[in-house]
Amino acid sequence: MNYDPRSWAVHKGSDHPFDRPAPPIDNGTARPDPARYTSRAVFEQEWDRVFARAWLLAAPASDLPEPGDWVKFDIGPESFIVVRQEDGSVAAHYNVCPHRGSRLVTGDMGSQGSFTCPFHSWRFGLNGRNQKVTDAETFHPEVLCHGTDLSSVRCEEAVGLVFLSMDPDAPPLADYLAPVLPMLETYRIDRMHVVQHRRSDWAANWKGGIDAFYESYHLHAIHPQTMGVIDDRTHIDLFPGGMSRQFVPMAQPNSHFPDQTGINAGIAALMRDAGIDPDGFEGTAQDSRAAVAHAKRDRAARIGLDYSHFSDAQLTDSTIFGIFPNAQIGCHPEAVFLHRFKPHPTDPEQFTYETTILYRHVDAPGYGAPGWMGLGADVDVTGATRPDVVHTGLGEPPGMGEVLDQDSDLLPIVQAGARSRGFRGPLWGEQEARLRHFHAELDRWLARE
Amino acid sequence: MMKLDFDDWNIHVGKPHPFNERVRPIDNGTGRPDPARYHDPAFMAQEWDRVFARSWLLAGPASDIPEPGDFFTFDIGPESFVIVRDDEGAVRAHYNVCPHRGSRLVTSDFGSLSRFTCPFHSWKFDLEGRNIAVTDEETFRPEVLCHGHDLTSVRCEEAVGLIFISMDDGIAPLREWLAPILPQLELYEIDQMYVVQHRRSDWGANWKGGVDAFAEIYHLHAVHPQTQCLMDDRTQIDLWPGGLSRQFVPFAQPAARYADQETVNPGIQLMLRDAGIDPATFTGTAAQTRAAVQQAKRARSDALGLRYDRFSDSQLSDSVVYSLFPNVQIGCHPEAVFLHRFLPHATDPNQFTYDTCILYRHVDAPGYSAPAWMGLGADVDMSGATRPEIVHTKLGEPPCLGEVLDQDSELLPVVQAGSRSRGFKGPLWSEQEGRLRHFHAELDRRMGQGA
Repeated sequence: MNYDPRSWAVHKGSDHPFDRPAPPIDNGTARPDPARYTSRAVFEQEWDRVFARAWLLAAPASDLPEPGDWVKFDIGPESFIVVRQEDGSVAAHYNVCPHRGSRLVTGDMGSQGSFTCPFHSWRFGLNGRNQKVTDAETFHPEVLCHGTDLSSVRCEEAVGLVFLSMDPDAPPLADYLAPVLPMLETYRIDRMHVVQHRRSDWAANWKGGIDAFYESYHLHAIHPQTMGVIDDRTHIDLFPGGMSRQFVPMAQPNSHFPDQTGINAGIAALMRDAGIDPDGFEGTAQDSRAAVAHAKRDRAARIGLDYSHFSDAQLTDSTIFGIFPNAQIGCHPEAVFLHRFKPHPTDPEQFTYETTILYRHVDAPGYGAPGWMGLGADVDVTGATRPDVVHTGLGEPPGMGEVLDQDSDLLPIVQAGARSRGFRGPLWGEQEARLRHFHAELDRWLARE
Repeated sequence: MMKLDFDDWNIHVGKPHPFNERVRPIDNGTGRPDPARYHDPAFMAQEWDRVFARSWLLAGPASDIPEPGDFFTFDIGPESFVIVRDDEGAVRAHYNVCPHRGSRLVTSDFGSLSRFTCPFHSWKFDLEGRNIAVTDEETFRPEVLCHGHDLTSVRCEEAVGLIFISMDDGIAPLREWLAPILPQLELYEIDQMYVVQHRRSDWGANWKGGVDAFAEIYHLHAVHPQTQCLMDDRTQIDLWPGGLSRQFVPFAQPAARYADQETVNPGIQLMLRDAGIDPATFTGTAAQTRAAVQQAKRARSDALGLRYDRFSDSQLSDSVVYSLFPNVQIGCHPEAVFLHRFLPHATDPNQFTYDTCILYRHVDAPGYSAPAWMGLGADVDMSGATRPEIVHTKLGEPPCLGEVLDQDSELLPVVQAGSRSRGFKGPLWSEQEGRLRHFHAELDRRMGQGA
């Protein structure tokens, strides 16, 4: 038996504080009712009790460098404008004109000094204050007294990311993120820029997306092509508030991969990314992960990057943080991946998967984005050009690369099972401990009036 | 003049035969049901729990899974089942759902395998549904696996070469339920037939709109006027307890409404030719052609040893159509049977999937073949050696099921729209629609049998 995945030797002899395991949290062995994936009542309660009260990852701060820069953030039935104000702080407003309810902006992002409603040209400042009611003299004053400003929501920044909350009484963002904040800070996301941004509609509940991205147990079955280079022997830490992290070791073979010693083509590519010539490498696949870490540390020293706060595991692995309720951040020294699982406005059996790659540009020889990140030669990695959001609809192949396309094929057939009277609820192993932890937190929020 | 029973429609032109005898009438009254049954999501949800989850459902023909390990999937409403022949030769049915996280186990229509492997985390199950491998079992707390990690199975029984499943563990045996019509269906020896055509088509109507349209021939003159020259709408209808029914649809003679009752028209000529009669030398009128077809088929049976003495004359010429509650009709002919299934949509009461399957009795003899009106093309392998693929057309696509069925698929959404109108108070069923009233009466009984 191995109920405690922390006993897997992911951090061979490391004494780095980042790698230290968190105190265990016991979430039990129960089997939840699968209605949570299909029921409209659960879906509506989730919106009111979870999404309307939590901090939601809205945008990277680097998308809003200057006053007037704004990003539209859509989630569930809502749309928000997240905007940089004149004083340099960020604000967020419902993307809804108080006059008749029209959306104010319809693009994904932009920059402007004020917002003008497309319906009757009412105008609002960046802070949401009404600047102009068209033909104000044709309104009874008592009508305008109901309020003519935009409705704003809480909006705060941390680790280079902008979050918002519809709950005016939400705790400060830094308190909400406290268990993982110092760890996320090591990646300096504030110095990164978006180099790829994709959105795709999937035929499953948003929690089906969370579940699939929160465990590496399925790699051998759904993504067998990764078995040579991504290990499923993992290290999972659970933190209060539904937060979690998981190390996914890279540059060494999976436990289910037959050849544990040969330097396969996948590992060779990861070595080359780190500046190692695999042909001259004398070790086996049991040594390649450590070699990649050392090579990256040497390269950092050479080009003046401070990697001293990173553990070796952080240099090689994907270190993934679960941010309750619906975000996951995959961290690497060179780049982070923001994954968001956004509920559909009305249908519990659909969600939008949104993935953003933020890259730390360093103009130095031998430094670049690892090849597996799949950034094409046409991508401007300097951050000078913000790429467009590419959105694929339901049923369209998302074209997100082989691994994500495999997930998008799978999720609808898992969703279908949730509707079956032959399915009594998921049986989560300890490799799926982050799922159980997430659902336990969700249940706590749903239980609050 | 009232015509509330069909005694004076003497549709049986051949020799008297016990098969043709009418059964004791069942009076289902004259009520007008609330049309909400056709579009109300609450009605649909209750129908699933009280009717579909407690009935025997036709899953497929046994000839589709002859060998151990052969399986097919049966999708209906929100569910998918995998029907498999086990190593002992018995047929079993499991929810097509992995107990770990709920993934579908198989996604193809058919196949053959020695065990099931879930695509998500490669848990493995034997053909009987027992778990044989939990991947990395040591990373599960025993209390988690104690919830149960085998597949969930459902009742599965065979009769007349057809496999039925039921989600109700306590349901009466299949043969008990089918008893009133079982000896009749057995005459067709469906177990010796093979699928030669299988089509599936999504239609914009409630599944009961499909049942209704296929359970009466009153609409032939209006929706399918091209059939009037060779299909009669004078009929015989028999009703049995449990929502079962049958109806004779006389072939090879014109409908009463058809203007020319004499001429052997090209449609009837085709049916004569199918039976081995040369229409050029046929001297009778259209009033004699049905009997001629019956006699010719009987003579052919004698020559080829087909044992048609078990069939009445009407069975040789006509379509004898059975309704199996809730959602199946079987159109029977000595050469072939048609399985029609009306499969409710997973969530939308305004959609269903029509599934139609032709099973053919192959006889390798000169002069024997499928009647031409069945529309089996020259490219169809009639021997049963090749199981044809299922052709599935989606909502809005022309189903390409042949002229008659395409006409039905165009009509049904128009009828469905009416059921949603506040100007429509409910259907007014005549005695020609006796099978519809009988079906809905049974549905109401089952809906009334609490949760």
